[in-house]
Amino acid sequence: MKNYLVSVFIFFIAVSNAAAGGGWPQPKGKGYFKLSQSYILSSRIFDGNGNVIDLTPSYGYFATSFYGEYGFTNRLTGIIYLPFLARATKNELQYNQPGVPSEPGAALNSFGDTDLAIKYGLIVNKPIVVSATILFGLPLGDNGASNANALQTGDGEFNQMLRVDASHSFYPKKFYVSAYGAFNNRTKGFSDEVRFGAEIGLTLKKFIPIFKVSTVHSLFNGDVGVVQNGVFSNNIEFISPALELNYQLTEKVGISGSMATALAARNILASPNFGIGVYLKL
Amino acid sequence: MKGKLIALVLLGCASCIGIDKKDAVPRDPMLTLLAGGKLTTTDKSGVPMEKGTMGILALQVGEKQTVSLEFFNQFGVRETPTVVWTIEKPTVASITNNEITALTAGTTQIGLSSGGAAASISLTVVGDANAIASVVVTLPPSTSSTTLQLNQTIQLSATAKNINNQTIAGKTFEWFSENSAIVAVSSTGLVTAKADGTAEVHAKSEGVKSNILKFNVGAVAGVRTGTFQSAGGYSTVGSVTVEESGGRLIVKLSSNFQASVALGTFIYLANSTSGGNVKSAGLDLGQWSPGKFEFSAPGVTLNQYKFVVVLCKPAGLTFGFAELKP
Repeated sequence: MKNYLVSVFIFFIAVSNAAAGGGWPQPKGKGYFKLSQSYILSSRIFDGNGNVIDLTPSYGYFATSFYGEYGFTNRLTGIIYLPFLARATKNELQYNQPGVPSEPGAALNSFGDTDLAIKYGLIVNKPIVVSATILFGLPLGDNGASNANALQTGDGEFNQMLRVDASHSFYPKKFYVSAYGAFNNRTKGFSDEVRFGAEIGLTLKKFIPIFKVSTVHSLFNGDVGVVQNGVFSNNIEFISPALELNYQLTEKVGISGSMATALAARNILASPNFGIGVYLKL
Repeated sequence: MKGKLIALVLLGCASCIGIDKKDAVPRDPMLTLLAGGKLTTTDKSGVPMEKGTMGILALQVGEKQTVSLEFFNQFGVRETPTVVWTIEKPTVASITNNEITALTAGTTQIGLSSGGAAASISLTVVGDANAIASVVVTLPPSTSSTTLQLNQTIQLSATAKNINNQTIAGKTFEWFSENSAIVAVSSTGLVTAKADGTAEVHAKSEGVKSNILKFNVGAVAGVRTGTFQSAGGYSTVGSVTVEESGGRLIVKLSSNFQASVALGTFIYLANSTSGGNVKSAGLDLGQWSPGKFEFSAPGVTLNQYKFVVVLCKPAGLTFGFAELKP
């Protein structure tokens, strides 16, 4: 369902960005590329009032994606998030009582909604670095307009998000902090969003744990009654802590595992989102 | 490398479509008679139906009639019923293996029960082919509704038939109202709605009782209404009216009805508002889309369900509900 997909999508972005540069743009000719698999499966949902209620049956969302950052100049970085295989599932529902007809499961496989972004370093080579990012959310996924199972791999709307990141490294101590704020302009009757987040990263030789908190706040200025099949993906809100554990296999290659969950939310699945990936630093 | 392979396999399995198991929500079991042979059936309002909980049967002495039944248990699963039969006057008929045998002329009530569900048959046994075997009361051809406005009149017709379902002319009928303060019926079968409420009307000729018609009178009786309230942070506004008509429950949404739109938004009748329970034990009236305001439910009676629920059926999420009140 759209809500789950978008929420998972957001979670996934959050986890991916945890490994990204924060306020630091990529140096010219340098880059960070990651191939990831994320998944969430849940039988509960934060409803529109923020209460956790049961889903009948469970829904899941799985994305195999490519995330890349590349420095065109020392200040200008291109970013892409490309979920080239997105899969939304609905479990089969069986009843314990013999003879009660079961409800078949279903799945939708497609390309997912894709993000293209440009990050520009506003303040670089200072104790606190600041960058601005303009992100375009391309509705390349399937918004489920003809899917009777309410399965979706995209929200069907083209959004534009302006984001500002600030970061500080405590070098030679081996940790850093970042924070960001963003405004997400959504189209087709979806409510706009304000986002905030922060992260702390440590470098313990080859082991790099990152703790992150992301929040999304809806402005509730959309048209929930009109948006075709967008009732779930509209007015999404959450406060989400995430933990990402990276391990450098070599100087350039590493693996990561992540988990994000929501402490409070509206219109997203009430279960953790997990991800694993392998990354390459140029 | 081996660890990565295992992780990939685990992820692949995780993305398969899984299976959820849960308990079905119990509901009222249902035992219905299937019309066939000389057995006719009606719903609880007396409207003839292909199947119903009330049967009317006329046999000649020595004749037999096998009764076909349909039984759904408390989880809605169709089963072969184990029926307990009771007969008011065992001298009139006997029952063996769902087969009724007419013994002597007379009338009697036959009761059936199975798994907490019940049905009944009104049996008339005649001694010769010219005697009255059944009396049929019908509404005028212009209407199929048994809901009347206050002071409204409606002319009923009664027909006497022999055992071969042939009309017997020249018979006189007595008319009866269960509650003449609510529905009065004249000696000619003219029904007058006198006060708000519900009352049953039937006729008799030579001791043979007709089918029963149940009339609902006024704005209150026979009609239940509710105002929708949103649930779960989703949007549902408007009101709903339900009424029995022609053996169906008609569910009418108000012209200002609006609900959160998702593929798979359905209207349900239910006795709970919990999405999972509605999906499991409620009655699915069909998919809703903007501009669709009327749904109907054959064989459902006015007080059978407590709520009209707007449900996202695929996920079992309640968008809103209206509690039905008299």
